[in-house]
Amino acid sequence: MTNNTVDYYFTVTSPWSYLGHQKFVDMCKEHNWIISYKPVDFGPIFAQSGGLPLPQRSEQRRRYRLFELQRWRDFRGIKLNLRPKFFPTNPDLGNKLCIASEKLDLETGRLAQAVMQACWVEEKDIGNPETLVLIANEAGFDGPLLLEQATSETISEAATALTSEAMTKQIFGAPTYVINGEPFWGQDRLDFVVRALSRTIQPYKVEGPV
Amino acid sequence: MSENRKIDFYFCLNSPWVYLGQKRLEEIANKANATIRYFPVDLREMMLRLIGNADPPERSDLHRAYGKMEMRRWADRYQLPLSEKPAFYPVSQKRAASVVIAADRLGADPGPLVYEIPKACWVDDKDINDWNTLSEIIELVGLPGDVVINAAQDQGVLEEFEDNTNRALDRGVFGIPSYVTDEEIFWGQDRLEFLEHRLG
Repeated sequence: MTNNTVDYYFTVTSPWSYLGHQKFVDMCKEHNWIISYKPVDFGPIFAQSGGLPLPQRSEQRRRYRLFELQRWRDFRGIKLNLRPKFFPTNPDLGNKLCIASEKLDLETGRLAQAVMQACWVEEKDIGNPETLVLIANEAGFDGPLLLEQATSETISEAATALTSEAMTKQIFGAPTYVINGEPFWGQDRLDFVVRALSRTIQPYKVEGPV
Repeated sequence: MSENRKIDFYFCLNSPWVYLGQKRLEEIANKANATIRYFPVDLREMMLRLIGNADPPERSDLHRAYGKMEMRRWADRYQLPLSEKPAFYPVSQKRAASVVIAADRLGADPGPLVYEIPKACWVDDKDINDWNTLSEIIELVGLPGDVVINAAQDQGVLEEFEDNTNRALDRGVFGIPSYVTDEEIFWGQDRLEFLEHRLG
């Protein structure tokens, strides 16, 4: 039996998630794959996997990141502010909005795009509930309903469960795309992703101790 | 083009990524009529100075497992052989680095060595910290083994190795392989495409 679902682990404040998002959504559509949107909290994941939040990385790495953002912005031909007005900001509610959208079976790809674009292009604070409602409304969703869901106990539990799931599945960075059990970390792996989606390469596996 | 552009290449001789990217790097340089300047560096020293620890931080099994898979992906992409588990790894690259610096000082193109040495480790299960093995590799690329090995033990070579490391850090390099052109750093062989684009 073939599985046609890609697990997509991301967080709305990640510029790399944003940079790859539309491209990834489009390639899945083209190759008839369904995306399971899994926004996660990378705080506890980094604590476990040894990843460092941006402010704690070395100056060399932070500088290099600014080069890379420019490269990929141009490569993808999309807009992105290198230093958005509202960044860092808390991704929690934005992520939960996307989780709520999944539960309601809405177009989560489009919602996530709107939220990330608001942060990385439109200088909006996606940590702010009212702003999120407006972003959702503008994108054609029922903003108040999504916010109500996003702040519910059910979605809070779902969010915690997703982060635990990511840890169990050994995800350590955003975005990560998982196809037939094979993780692809980073939007810079989308050209490998498209080969996996079009089944031109067999999935890789890692077994035994590492 | 008025003058040759330069690609300053900071790398280690025990890195599978250096082996995987070398032919591609040469191809890019040739096409762009750019000169590659080879700077082997002491990655452990770099890490010590960057993060206070010569060994990679406890990024753990997760990263290692993923790294293994990535190596296979890229080896397949380039259609190059690569061993799952080299017989001699981890291995010190200091002697190998001194060989490359010595060959460079003698006026030889270090390129073939930069491909063959990590390949010896990652494909042929050879110990690249062994002078005899290194001598064989030097001969393989058409250079005199004894002359290069002898030159590799010059104090000046070691100093150059240290200078390379210092210079790399000064320029903002924090990992290998890194390719620097016009002060723009490209880290990782997976950024060669961007380097190619930059060189036009």
